Amino acid sequence: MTMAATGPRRGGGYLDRPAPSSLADVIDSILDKGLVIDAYVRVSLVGIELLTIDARIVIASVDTYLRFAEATNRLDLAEKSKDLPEVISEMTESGAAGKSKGLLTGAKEALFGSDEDRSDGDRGDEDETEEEPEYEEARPRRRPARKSAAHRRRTED
Amino acid sequence: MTVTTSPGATCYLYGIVAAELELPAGLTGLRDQPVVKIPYGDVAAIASPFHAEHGVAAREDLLKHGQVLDAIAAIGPVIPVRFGSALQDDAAVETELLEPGHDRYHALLGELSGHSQFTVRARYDERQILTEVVAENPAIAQLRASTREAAGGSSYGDRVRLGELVARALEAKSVADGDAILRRLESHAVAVNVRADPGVDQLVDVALLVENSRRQEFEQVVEDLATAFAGRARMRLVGPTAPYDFVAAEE
Repeated sequence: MTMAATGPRRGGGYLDRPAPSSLADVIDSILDKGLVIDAYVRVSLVGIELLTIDARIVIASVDTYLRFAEATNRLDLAEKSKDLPEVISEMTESGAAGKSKGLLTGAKEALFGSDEDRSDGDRGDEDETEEEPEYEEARPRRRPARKSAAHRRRTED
Repeated sequence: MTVTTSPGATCYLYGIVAAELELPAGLTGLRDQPVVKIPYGDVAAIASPFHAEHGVAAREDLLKHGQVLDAIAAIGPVIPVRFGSALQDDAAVETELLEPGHDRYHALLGELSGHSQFTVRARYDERQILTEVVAENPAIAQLRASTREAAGGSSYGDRVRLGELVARALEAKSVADGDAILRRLESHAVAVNVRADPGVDQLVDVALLVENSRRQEFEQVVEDLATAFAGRARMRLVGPTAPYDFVAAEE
């Protein structure tokens, strides 16, 4: 009976099979998708929409760069000459797989919480950096600039 | 069967299905209202009563919208309607939605029949990928060394520079790895929607329309990819779900 496994993980255990009902998945999958109709009432979900946009801005901010720098600095590279396969197996064995939520994952889950770590809210860490405007030009190219939202966000600060 | 909406309620819409589809018994929607079919010709809208004065919807409503659609997608083809859409009453659902779009919806349901949407996301393991980035980029390794030594805020500019270089390096990696993943996946799907890039450390975020008869083969490919990337990235597979990404084609 090969179809029996119904838990969140199956097979070799490397693939996450979340139920499609976690908020983060639902927001990404549903919020701006589906047939658009000429509705009589458009039920608004203003709060969540704005949060989504803000989360993307946070990802492209100087604050993010500082987090990258911090994470890079924290790495323990004592044995630099180690080649990749060793590193990979070590990482796998360390059991960090999956649970290392990491700061990179952060913005969106910090804002919405996720099913797994609703309890350890590290909300609000996007407010810690005030110096943002000077480094405007450092935005990664691939991200479309959401100008109006970015502006609004800054004026609120 | 029709909805009898109480005064002041509107018809909140989830999607459009074939008229003959039997809804799961006891299916409830937003605010625990009963979900019903409003048929017209060969198609039918899926709706539940909604009081407009509730106005702003809650997170639970968004989740519920998805749950209703996925429950229906499990038993037959459905065209998801965008979250938050309500029409005035049953009559408006027929005259404003189903009648004018009847033939198009009927054809689209035919195309979607026997297919499900899957979403694949892959995100790097932070420690592993940063280790690679440092090992592969002498400039980053150097900046890392110098900013590590200068404790405190003295090297703010350098730290931003370091972070920026790391972000760019990650981006280059994610493009290469993401493309490789996409190439493996797309031959197992009938349609693909690559979503807007959601973040520097994410390799891929793609929705795929997969034939139900090829589902096992597709899932095996995703499993294999997850195994190949083990240690470097975590892969998530969400689905089968309603085909949210494959109904937007404009007339």
